[in-house]
Amino acid sequence: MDATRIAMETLGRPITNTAILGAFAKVTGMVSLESLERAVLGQWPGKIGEVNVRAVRRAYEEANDPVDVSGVEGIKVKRLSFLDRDVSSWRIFRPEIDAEKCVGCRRCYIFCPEVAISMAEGKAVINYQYCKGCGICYEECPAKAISFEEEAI
Amino acid sequence: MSKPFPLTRLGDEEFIDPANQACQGCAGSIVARIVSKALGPNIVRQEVACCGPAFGNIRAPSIYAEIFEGAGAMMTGLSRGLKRRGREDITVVGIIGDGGTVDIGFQGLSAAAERNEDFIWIVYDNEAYMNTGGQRSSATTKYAYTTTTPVGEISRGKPERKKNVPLLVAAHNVPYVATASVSFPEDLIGKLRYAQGLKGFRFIHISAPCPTGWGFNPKDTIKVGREMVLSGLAPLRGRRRQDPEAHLQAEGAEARQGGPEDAGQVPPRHRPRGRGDPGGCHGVLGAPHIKGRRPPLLTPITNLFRSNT
Amino acid sequence: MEKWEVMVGNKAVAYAAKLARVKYIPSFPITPQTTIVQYLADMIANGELDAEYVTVEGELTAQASALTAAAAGVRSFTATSGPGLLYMHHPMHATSGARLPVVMAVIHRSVKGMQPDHSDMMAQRDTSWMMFECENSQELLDTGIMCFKIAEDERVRLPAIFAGDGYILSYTAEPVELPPQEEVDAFLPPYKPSIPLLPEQAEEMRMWMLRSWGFGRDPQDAWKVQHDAMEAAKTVIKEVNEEYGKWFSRRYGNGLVEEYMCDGAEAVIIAMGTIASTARVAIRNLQKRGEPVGLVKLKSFKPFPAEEFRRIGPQVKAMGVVDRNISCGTGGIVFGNVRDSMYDLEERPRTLQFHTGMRGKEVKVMDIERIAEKTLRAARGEKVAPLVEWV
Repeated sequence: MDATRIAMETLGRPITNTAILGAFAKVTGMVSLESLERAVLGQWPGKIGEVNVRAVRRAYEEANDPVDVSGVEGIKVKRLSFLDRDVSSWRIFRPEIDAEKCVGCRRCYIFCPEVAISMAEGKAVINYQYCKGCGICYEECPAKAISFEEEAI
Repeated sequence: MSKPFPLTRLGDEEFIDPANQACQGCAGSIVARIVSKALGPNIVRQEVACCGPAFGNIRAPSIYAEIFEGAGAMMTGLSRGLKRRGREDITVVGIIGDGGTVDIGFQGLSAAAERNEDFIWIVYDNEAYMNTGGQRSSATTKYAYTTTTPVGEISRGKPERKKNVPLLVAAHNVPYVATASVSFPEDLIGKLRYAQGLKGFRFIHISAPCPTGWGFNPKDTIKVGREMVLSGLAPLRGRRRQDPEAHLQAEGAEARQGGPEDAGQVPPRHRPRGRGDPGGCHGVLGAPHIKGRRPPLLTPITNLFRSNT
Repeated sequence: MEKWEVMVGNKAVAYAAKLARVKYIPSFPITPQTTIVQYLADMIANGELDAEYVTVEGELTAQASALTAAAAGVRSFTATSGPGLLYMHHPMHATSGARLPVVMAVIHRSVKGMQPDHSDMMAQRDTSWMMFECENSQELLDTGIMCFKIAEDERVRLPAIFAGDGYILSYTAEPVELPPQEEVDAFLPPYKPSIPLLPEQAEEMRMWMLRSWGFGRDPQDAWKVQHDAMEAAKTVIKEVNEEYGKWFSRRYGNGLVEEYMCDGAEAVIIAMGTIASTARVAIRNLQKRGEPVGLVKLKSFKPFPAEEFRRIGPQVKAMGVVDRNISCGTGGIVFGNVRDSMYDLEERPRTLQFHTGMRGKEVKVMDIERIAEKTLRAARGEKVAPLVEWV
């Protein structure tokens, strides 16, 4: 279940908490959908609550039925530490620099909080291992040379 | 006085590790990057409990202690100790949050300023105690929402005005006080390098918007910072103290070379003219340059640093 | 060449710092320690001592700046009392946590007033600082110099307090012998910076930071290494005490405790600081009357010399512990430590608790004589009461 997509389509922001709660309710059966919706509306009255309820419902529908995983071998997950300096998983949106349009003004270079942008032959280049997808480069580029689209997972 | 430093003159060498643990779009991270580029590698830093250690990936050594209130004290010990060790060439610098500067750290700030300790105090001002979730500090702007001054039925945001810190520090008559913004990097780099060429207590107050705490999209960090300056909420100012005996001359400006750009480039020297160095005030609003007689202390400072918040 | 001078205790402390060639002195006044930092200011102004002297705005700054100066690579010293010591509690943990050998003189002042008791130092008991008590001005000077050597030893690297009772020592004049500077220089090697804080050491510093934050290790290790260093300090204290004795003909027991007239004693009393000095007279009086009571002077409060008490315990039938402090709701702190150290012994003495001298209450020879006599009666099997007595 793609919580990010559900959140983007219902809330307009990549905030996945309520969608994940909906999936959790479905998969574990520990809380009913009605209770969850009531809790969400109680937390955020009005429009915000309504769109979050929509996120909860869609996630609930799209999530799988509970599956028996007792026979499945554990998956080895690589434990990331800050020493690895890999923040690419933080991204929802991905900036892409069009080298033709880039004028080498260095504004994206100096404004990148992660030092992900360097200059090569007068053009800005992004190192995607270091890019968190904050969007500052996209916003600040005076030549509109940077696109900022949702990243395919 | 300081001059804006063109980005095209910045060298390629980085003095900071990429990709830190701070939020997306953190202005503090940008400040740390700019500071490390402007001051170069010959620095020793102080870190206290604030967002600083989260984005504190500058490679130069730093001493971190959770003594939140002790930034002034600890930088005093650092600079005095290094001086005793014969290493006055090293710039001692601290990138401290607004809380550790204007609230819990204010005693240390005032005392270090009064003693004219030899270091650069850089405050990145995100206008709240952001590292603990965004509680109000005295640097929070009036009416702003924080978790301890929330907006509700009865009260709406912080009732008090923002404490005018540059004015207070300037009233200690320290060698250099400046305000800057993360959105104006040329001005900020110029001020940092200028400060590095001076001795004594130097204070640079950087407006650093926080997307997480202020509730805006991370891509707008620089845009919000720019609006802060242009609207007059965080104007760019600088003041160097008048010093007839030119004590502020760096002993061998080469030793305090700032920035890693073209070889041989040194920060501008500050030579006395005629009857001693009259100091100077400049700013966005252009307070008049005062020649000749030693001017009174407070009026130009209050004029220059008057607050709009 | 020996040099004798009649001086007050505070001056002896100042001389200790001077002879140790300290390089960073943050100074803030508080009665009854104030004249220490004033003497140091005079010494610097007259060119007798070459050091950074910073008149800070409070004791917290004094401690926080002493710790970073020590980290930056210079020998640091400060002095305080009572509430000033309380005010620097926060940075004290950072100093010991970073294993920085800052040395501090504490001139005892009660937390409940201006007069002396040990409550100020006891409030810092668990900050992982070493703590030594002195009973006269000579001991203040000697212990001060020894502290630098103990604290800076590679096996220890913990900060140290050397303490003396306010007014009784600080403002009372006694003859004190000043060891010659050249001999102190030979005894005390130059300070070695332990933290790679210079810009050219950036890589090393990164590793140091990670290690100090405990990466890849059991989170409890940060405490364990400090505790181990404290335990190792016991050996170092004894060595330094012995070496000091060889150089300057003065040693203080074995460095941890001093046993006075304990041969053949049936009972002992235990005391720290100036109470021990008064107790010597009381013990001599009792011994003259044929009453076999001895005195164990506790010099090293932290690290607490549990092994010494385990050795002395089986030799006597009763111990009377004189505490110039109290942990309200529990009891005397030295008393608790003494009993705790002997709990597992096959044969252990009875222990009696005495509180005296608090908030500056005068401790007279006859008070100590009474305490010693009561302890002796307990040693001889008498049922004595109360077991806790406020003298």
